[in-house]
Amino acid sequence: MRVRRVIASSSVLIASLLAVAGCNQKVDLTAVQQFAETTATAGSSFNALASDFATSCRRRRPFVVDPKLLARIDAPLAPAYRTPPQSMPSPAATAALTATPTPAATLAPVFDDHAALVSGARALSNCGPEDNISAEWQKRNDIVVGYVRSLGSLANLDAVPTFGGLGSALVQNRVISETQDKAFQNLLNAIALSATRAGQEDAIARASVATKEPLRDAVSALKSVDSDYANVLEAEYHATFSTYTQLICDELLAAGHATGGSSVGRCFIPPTFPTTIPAASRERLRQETQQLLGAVQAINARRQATIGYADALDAIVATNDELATKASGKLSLPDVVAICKKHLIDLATAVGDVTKAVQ
Amino acid sequence: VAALSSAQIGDLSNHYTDLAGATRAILNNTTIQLTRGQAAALSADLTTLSTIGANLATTAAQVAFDHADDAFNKISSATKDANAEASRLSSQAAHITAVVDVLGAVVTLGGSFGSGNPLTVLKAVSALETAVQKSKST
Repeated sequence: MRVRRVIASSSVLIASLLAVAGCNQKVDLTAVQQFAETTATAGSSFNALASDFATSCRRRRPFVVDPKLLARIDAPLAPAYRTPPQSMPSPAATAALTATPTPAATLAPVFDDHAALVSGARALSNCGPEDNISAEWQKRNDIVVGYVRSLGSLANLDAVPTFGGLGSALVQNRVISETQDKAFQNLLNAIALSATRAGQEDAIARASVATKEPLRDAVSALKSVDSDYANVLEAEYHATFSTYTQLICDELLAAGHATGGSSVGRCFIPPTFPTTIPAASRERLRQETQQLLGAVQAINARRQATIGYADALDAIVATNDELATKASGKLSLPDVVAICKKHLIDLATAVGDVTKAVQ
Repeated sequence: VAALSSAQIGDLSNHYTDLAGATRAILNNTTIQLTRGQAAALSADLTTLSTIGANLATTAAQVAFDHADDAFNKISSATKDANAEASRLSSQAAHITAVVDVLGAVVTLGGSFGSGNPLTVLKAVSALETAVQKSKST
């Protein structure tokens, strides 16, 4: 009777263990691996973008000319009479009528207020604050990317103990047969896999719940800085465009090929330069135009990258949010795979856009 | 400026870059005739507005980072925990494997006594020593 009870109990135990073994087949982690690899790629691309915050300042710097200097060179307006308001003649108007025209070199610069605004904030040639932002941005990108990679490492963990050493010793000493060894190896591996997987799932669940809100806040800050970077690029664009167009315009005016003659009017970059311009000048103008177009294309590519960067951050937050939501119940490794798979395309596309733009 | 939020400073930056864009539009407008002086003045304005916009953007970025310090610290902390857990699981697996290998070496040693061959026993003892050392290091 007692033997039967033992056999019955053993059967139940073995059946349970086999059931555990059956439920704990290895999960296909390809999606998680790809997610982790894509995030690793994102790290270097994100940092290239962050680094460009300061580099953009350095590219812009040669084009930022002191407005006072420009005003001295180009201030063409001599003092002139102005009709005073009829009801209250102004002493200034009388003074203007009788004043000796002031030489252009001593005229009050037109841009004094603007110059004060710019140089009051900091020197035009100083990119120190941008250097700080680049360094901070990289550091904080690394924090977010590092977090996603740690989740990937947890999910991809190959940390199942092996029992081969004991099994072969038992077989060699004829304690058990090879068939029995194989069956017990499978069982023990399944139990070990189950224990490891439970540890992985718990750790991923804890991490995603703990970072749900902080990651949103952090990504919101990163996107805000991304938007600020877009403004920095726009400033570079204006400075570059303005400088080159003025340079080209001046050359065309000097050569007498610009609209409106040499002193009045605007000139534009013609689609094809007039053939009457000497070959040497034409070549220089062509090169300058090419440089301008190249610079603008590079700026536009980086502006495109800012969109990809924000999209990639959104994909990371969406993934973490879903993991955390699922973790409020029971998060399993297949859930992690499914969630990573769902957001992988968005992440990969966005990271691809950033990578392409910063290359 | 410090009293403003990052978003507010960012908005200011946007306004300046918008103004710079509008200034450039005037410069590029084919129907507006400007003297060279006016064009140069607008160019200088454009540069100035752009510079102010960029400076404000830099300030906004710094404020955004300062404001989110706590969030980044929490993420760093969670990352450390996750990495520690991954490391613990790996060590645990390695340790169990090593202990199982010790058991295997003990079984082999037991079997070697029945062989009657002192060399076999010595080999089994040596294997057990190695397995014990390995289990201690995991």
